[in-house]
Amino acid sequence: MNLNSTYGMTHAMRIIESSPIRKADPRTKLALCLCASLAVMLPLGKIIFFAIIYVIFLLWARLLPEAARQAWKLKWILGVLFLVDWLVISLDLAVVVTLRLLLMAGVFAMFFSTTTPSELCLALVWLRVPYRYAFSISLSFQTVSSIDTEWRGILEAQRARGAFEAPKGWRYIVEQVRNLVSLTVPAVVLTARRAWSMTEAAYARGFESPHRTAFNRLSMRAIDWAILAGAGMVAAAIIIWR
Amino acid sequence: MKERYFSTFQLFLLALFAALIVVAKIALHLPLQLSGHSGIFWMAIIIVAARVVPKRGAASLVGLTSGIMAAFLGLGDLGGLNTLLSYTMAGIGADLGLLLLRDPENYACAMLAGMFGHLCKFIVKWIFGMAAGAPVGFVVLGLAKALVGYIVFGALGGLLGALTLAALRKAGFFTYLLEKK
Amino acid sequence: MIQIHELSYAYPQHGRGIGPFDFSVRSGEMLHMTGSSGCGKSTLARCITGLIPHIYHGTMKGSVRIGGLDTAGTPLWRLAESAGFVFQNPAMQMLGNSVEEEILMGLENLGLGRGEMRDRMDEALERFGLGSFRGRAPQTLSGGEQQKLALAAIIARRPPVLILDEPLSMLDVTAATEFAGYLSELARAGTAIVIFEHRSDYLAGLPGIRIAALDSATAPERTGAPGRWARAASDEKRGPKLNVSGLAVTIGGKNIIRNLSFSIEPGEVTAVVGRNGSGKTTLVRALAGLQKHGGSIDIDAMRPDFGQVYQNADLQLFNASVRSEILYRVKDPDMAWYAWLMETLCLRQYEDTPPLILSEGEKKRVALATVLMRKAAHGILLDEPSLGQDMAHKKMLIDICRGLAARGKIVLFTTHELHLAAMADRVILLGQDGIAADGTPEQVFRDADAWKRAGLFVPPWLTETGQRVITA
Repeated sequence: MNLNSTYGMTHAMRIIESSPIRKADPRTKLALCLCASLAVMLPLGKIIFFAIIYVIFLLWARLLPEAARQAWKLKWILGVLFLVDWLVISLDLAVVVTLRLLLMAGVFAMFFSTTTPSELCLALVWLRVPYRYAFSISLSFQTVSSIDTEWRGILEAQRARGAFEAPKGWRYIVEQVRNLVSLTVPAVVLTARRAWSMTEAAYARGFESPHRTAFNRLSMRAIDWAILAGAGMVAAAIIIWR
Repeated sequence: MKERYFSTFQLFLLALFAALIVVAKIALHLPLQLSGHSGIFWMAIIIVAARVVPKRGAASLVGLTSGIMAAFLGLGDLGGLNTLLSYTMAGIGADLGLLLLRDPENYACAMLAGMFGHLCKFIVKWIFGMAAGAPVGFVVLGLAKALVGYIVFGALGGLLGALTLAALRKAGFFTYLLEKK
Repeated sequence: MIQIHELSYAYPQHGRGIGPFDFSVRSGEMLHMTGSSGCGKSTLARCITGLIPHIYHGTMKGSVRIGGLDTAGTPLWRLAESAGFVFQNPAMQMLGNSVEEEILMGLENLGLGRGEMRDRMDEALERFGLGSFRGRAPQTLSGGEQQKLALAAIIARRPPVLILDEPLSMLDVTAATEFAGYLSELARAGTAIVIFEHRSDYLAGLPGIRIAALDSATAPERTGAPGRWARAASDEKRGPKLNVSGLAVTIGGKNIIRNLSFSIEPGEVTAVVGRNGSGKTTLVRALAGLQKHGGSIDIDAMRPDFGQVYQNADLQLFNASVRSEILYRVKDPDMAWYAWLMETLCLRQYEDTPPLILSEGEKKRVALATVLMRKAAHGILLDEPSLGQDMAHKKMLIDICRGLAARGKIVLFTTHELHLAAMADRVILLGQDGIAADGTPEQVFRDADAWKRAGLFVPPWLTETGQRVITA
């Protein structure tokens, strides 16, 4: 099996600092995303209205390029679906289906591109997720780059030993899978060692203390109330409008 | 020390396995233009996690954590919510599979659990297609081709997981774990 | 402050263990524990901090009291208030997404108010010179900075006791000396410190330090007999030299190596030294053909074929036994060569043992054997081969390097251990703008200006010991 490694993480976390909703409370953003994702159930007229409002919001929030990047990944599926729906059923359905898929793809970009893992951790704790679970999720983010470096190191070291030299083709697929063990075993071992070191380091800093107080706390600001009020008005308009 | 369902080490280990899934997904591309081929490493790591932390819900937690990470890192085609749900379902599916099949070190059990987990991920995509109101016939036709890929790579992932566990056992990894709480 | 009474610990895997130990450490006292690799220093450190028996299986007997608290009967979070613990690999201790978070985590667990947390964090960042890194991800810091951050995160909690397990092993000479200075300062301020460390020279001159040798209850590793390699290989003829010209490497927009030119004759053991982050590992990767680079690297106008031994042996070990690991994917293995490697690297007794359960030093030797078994045409490259190893291992390593060089191979290793560099035939000192000095160890160690330019210095103890090694 031929393995190609991309040298370095190609998908770094993209936090858009310039967005006005960057400073908004993660709970506000989460609520907004969940409400917006319900909009996919709307009929044609209302979904077009919602889409226009949503694009204006993204424009204001400086998130349109990010949402467009997500949508671009869907270009082929959307193109084919649009054509098939239009030709086989109707233009109305083609528009509705395309808009729904676009919304589904882009709606959470607003949350994920303006929230850091630490803020997510705070939101999870507020949602009554135990701190140790929320902390472990935050931990997984900060280890990605180190694990990536290790993973590439394993790949290099094993490739130098000829670990992936199985015959090509489907007939030898099991043999090829067997070769991948040279990659997965060191990866699992190194991951376990890292997890153990981190466990020790966490306990050395008083992890699981019942007296823990958080330095950073969630707080609703004016922008949060403004966003929620705006969202409420849009929801009301959609419900009332016949 | 107070007994917890997952010890701190187990919790951190599962979180790091989730990071490993994301790294494997990003850093390695098999030269196969088939849907679901990334499932080989994905399901393998989930199967290994379920054995190394032998508690119900371990695979689901790995799935959920990797889903959150993947959504943040912008992986997946159908947006953050789809990514989050499909990664999570892969873990839940593997957990459910292992609930019935039990032994992740058995090749057949691991392959079936891997296949089942990967199928659950596929089902999320299918539901998303249906929820968007795409014509049923088209969705079925389009995804039927992908379905074969998901089944094959899910099973191969399960197999790789079982092979990895066997190699880890021979290499003394479980002896290393013996000392850790 | 620390009272240890008849302490012993047996590992659950095989029943062997360490101890019994009896000693105590007073406030403001610094105790330096020495001992060979694998003698149980890390285990003892974990017993003192309470990690054993709280998160380790195995049998601990006797008692450890810290500030009057019995470690076995006190929860870990409470013990952590009395005893801080910093250990070997700083990159593995980083828990926060930023430098600030790294320090705050420990303060939050003390249950302090926000104002007090901020004050203590600012004070710690200031004290360790980390103020300008507040928002940076800890992974982007150099090894020395990470180790300082690990210490700062613990010191901010103001524990009266500090336990350190090989904290200097990954630091260059400047960072290690600076770190030792911090410890001395803390001891003067009343902290009781126990430090487990191979690199004793950095601690030897500290005022009031007490040194204790840890006697091993476990069998120490055997090391190779010197001179065997040279005898076995003296008939090999020398090949063409390695030419590196205008080598430049840029990673993520940052110039890691700039315009580096040198050549190496076969039969020469070359040590590459420099600060943490000076590009030593990148240079090895470029020579091994694993790093995209500008300029040229060739031997006889051809791409060189080197075997590379990685800093972390765990990257390559996965087989069920040492034998299968070394012979993995070697076409038509030369079994006489294999037998000789096993003998020389003292691995014969472990042939059927899984490599993963060996000690770090043994794993490094297995990793070296896997590379040597493949008989790369031009020689080997070793990246920090002596990390965390005692002097016996270092001597064995240099012996192997000399043996290979005697076979007409090029041998190059990177290191921040100046003792090891002093044993090479040639030292290349990397600075910020390329090679700061290049020559025999005597020449390079005497060039104080070059070391200054490289952001390092030659400590006085090295000049004496280094000279002794060189002249011997």
